[in-house]
Amino acid sequence: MIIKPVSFFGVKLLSGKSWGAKWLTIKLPVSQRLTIKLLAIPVLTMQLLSNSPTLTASALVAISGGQYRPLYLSEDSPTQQVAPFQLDKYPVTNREFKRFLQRHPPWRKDAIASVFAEAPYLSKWQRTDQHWAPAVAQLDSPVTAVSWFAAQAYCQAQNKRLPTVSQWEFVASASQDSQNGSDDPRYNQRILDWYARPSTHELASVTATPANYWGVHAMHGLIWEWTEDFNSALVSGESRADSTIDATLFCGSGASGSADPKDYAAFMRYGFRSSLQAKFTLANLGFRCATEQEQH
Amino acid sequence: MKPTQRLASLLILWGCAVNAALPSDSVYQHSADWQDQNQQKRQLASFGGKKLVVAMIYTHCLHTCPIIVSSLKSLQTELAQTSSQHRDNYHFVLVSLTTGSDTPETLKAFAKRRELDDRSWSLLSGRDSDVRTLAMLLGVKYKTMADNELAHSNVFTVLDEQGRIVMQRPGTLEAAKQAAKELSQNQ
Repeated sequence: MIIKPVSFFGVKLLSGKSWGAKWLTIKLPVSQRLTIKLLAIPVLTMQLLSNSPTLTASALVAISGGQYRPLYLSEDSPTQQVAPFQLDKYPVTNREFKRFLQRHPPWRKDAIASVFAEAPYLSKWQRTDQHWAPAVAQLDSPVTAVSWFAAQAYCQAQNKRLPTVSQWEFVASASQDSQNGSDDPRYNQRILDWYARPSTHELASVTATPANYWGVHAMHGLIWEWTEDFNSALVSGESRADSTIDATLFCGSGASGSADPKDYAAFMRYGFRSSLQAKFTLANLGFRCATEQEQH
Repeated sequence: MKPTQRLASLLILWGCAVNAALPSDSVYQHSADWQDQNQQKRQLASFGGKKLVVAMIYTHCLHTCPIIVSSLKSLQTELAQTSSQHRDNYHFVLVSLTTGSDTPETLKAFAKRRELDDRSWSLLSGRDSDVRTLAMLLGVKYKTMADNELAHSNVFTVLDEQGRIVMQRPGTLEAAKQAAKELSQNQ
């Protein structure tokens, strides 16, 4: 007899500690005269059925677009126009990524081709009876240790794609109450404070940080994020020689010639991105998706 | 089960088996559909057990691309001079980075202008996301600049029969000659 007991009662029966392949016997008082005894319901199944609050993390936020000055351009160089687009309100969570893997088995930890991800892929996930799964306490935290390929596949499965560096930086440059946070010293300091903290093993929920001007959460303070063209800043302007480092970007004197020498945090992001390869899987690197199309 | 159904399911199984047989580190794990200069649908894994020499270019490019194409033609000539077997073992693939403007017709005209014969050369265009994924797999970096110009890594990649990266070199004449020497020695 299969019943969905947990959703009937609106009670979350299981805590994170009981995660595992144990078997439970639960008595559920349906009425005064009748008690249904449930036997042998796998904990895993019950967790999936539980009605713990599910984030609408795939919700998109409309970004009206605007002018954006790429970090490495000088003061008098032209700004880039960021066209209107939509960006995920939150980074993709472990829960959402797990759901994606249920429908797309080639991207599971035990199936993914090595060309698409390094071995630490989903390294925080734990082995369960059937598959790898995130810890219950981490379900609403951002999925990390995913490669660019896996992140892109996830977004494509939702008819979205990864945001470009310009799109990501444009949204990330907003503080809580201004479209351009760079004028607010506290905005920069807060980001640098986060960069200075060692990353903790347990990541907070994607809702833990306040929304910025656009209503987008956790652009800073939780994880680093993949972008579609993360490695393109490294293409030298000439491009005849090779993929050598663009001197205007990374030489010691770079900051003094850039549009905004204050924006040391952005320099760190460009430096970090350019050190990545698409199959890297890092414990503090996740992603969110974007789209130019209206979602229905 | 009707005979046609049985055949269909066998074909599906066979298709899965072929895919499963690919090495885990094969670039062919990304099974995108491309269109060649003759408007034929192609997959990278479909070049019949040949080694592939792959470069990513765009045809209205004035700087790097003419050099990389010349380098690959030189590689082709050098390999052919070593033995006819080498000539037949390699197929040359140019993948367009500007899918919007490089139509099969444009690529066909480019092939004709640069004297790239259909037998050994395929010029492919595809979806933007597939181009980006292939570039990531090959470590090719590119960025669209003003005027539909493109900054990109000037490299070519040699893949073995199963799509594993054997060699990656800058797209210069010198590097191509050196590559030809090494490839003919390693056989």
